[in-house]
Amino acid sequence: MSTSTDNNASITQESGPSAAVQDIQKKIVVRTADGEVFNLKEEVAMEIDIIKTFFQEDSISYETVMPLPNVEGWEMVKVIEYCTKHVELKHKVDGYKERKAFQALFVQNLSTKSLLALTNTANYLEVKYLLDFLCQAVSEQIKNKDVDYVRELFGVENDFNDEEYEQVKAEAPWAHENLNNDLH
Amino acid sequence: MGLEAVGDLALHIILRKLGAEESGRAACVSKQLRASASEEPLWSHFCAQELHLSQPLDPHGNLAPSFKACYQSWRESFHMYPWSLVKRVKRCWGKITNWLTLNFPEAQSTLNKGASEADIQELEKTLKVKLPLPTRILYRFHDGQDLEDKNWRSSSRNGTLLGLIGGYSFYDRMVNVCLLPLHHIVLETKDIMETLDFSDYIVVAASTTHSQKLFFLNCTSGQLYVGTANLLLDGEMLPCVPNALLNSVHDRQQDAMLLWLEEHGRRLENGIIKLREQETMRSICQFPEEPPFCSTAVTSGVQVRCSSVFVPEFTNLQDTIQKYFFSYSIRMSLLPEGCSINGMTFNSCQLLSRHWVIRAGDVVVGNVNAEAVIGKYPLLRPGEPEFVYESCTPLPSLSGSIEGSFVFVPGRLADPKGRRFRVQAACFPLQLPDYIF
Repeated sequence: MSTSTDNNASITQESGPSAAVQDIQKKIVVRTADGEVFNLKEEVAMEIDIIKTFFQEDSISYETVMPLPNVEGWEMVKVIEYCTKHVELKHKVDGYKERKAFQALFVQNLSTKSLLALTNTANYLEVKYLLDFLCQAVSEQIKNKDVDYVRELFGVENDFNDEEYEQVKAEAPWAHENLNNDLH
Repeated sequence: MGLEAVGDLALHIILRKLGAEESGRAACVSKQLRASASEEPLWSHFCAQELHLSQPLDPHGNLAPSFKACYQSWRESFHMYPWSLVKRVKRCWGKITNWLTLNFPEAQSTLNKGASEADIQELEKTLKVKLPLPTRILYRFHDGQDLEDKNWRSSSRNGTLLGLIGGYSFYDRMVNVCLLPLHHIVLETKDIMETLDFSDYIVVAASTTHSQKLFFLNCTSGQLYVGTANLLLDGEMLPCVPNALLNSVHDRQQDAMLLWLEEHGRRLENGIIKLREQETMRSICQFPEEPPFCSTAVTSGVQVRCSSVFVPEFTNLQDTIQKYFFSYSIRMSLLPEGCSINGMTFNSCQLLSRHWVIRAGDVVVGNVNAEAVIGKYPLLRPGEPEFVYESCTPLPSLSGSIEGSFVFVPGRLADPKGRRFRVQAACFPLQLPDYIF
């Protein structure tokens, strides 16, 4: 049994370090190509495999700022946004609807160019589920569209000559039905 | 930043999600995309997903040089049909052939390879019909069964028991239904139409045994019918597939033949019907093995399982009393623990008599109390295979039931070891089914 002073001491002891621990949650720092610096919560940073490998493989101290020369600032913002949500939903039992709503919003204002850039970044950063989601988003933009539409949408050059084009087309005649052509 | 710059992995994932058709189209966008859309891992995935192929086998069963070539060969071979329907038919056959390979390989080997478009057109010309789309595709995959065509309708009682649909036997009647190959369809149809003179019907399935049981496909409506006892007299037939299901899909993308085989495959897969071994002969048995159509009861260690099957070829819709005909199968066995009565255990028991109450709806139409079962007094020993017997009964209505009991003696009839006891046979239904096989 303790005296009241001891009680106070023990109470302070319990509330002190635990509160402090919450504040001192580990952060990982990265710098993107445009010089922007980002502080990531450890649990979010560990979702990004390239970061996880960098710090864990050689036990590099978290004080080191990891350079990400292939990533733009705005892309990092989006990746952090997605991974944070993913971590949050991990602990939820029935997060399906919430995830779907979030995903819809996430790509809503992304231009096709940005979508592709982000896909490339997700690939580089090795965030599997983000890459999968972005690829799904890209595929939905191409679905049922004809070849010209796809070229225009993605800014791709047609490097076939007429003869080559006809040849490729003839390889899979069954691929050129069911088209949604009227959307320009 | 264009599509091509997202990297190979991302491109592969995008193409996978797009599917085979879209990937085929993506190949026309640019040279780089063509390369990405031609990679083997992509087409290996599509072959697995759409055609359940783990090897690049073309429609003739030969190895194609690549998965891409394999997929292309399937599309080309079936280009005249809606691809979704082709996939559905392939799944249907897949279910059946998987079960056969595992459980009844001797029947699997009787399945012919697919008929050609030319073969089908030949039949259509000869019989002056147009086969419904799903049935055409079914025959493109397998042209019925090859059952030693010399005398598959042999004069011997047994014929062959390798019919895909199987059947039943009771008293001296044995039925085993197989799928006819195209050239037999022509022969059987011409033969029966001399009597019936129906246009647009073709015979697609029949019993290989002496007993006549014929299945007809109506090429206009797509419905499948089975002949009743009045077939030759009046052309009387019953539909084999629920009409509502048949009419539920527009543009003829399902017909009774496909629905019928899909249902059959489902029953085999789920163990609702199983293989029966009678002496050394094996066949697919149409008596249900699972609840709710098969009842089970255990009394004093004696297990009795009962189920019935509808017998259309003995059904006579014009008769008021003996209208619907059913056969039933009773399987009895003594559990490994032996026969236990009042705390005493016996290691055998023998049947003395049976008691059956047959109902049409709720009305009792039969009450039998007699010795033996089909003239036999089965002796049961613990853990031995089931004693199975079949009998039959007509019913004035399309729905009814049978329940009853057996009197057994512990030990043997010639040497009873205790008092007689009654063993329950739990109630089981007699019901005109929605699918008739």
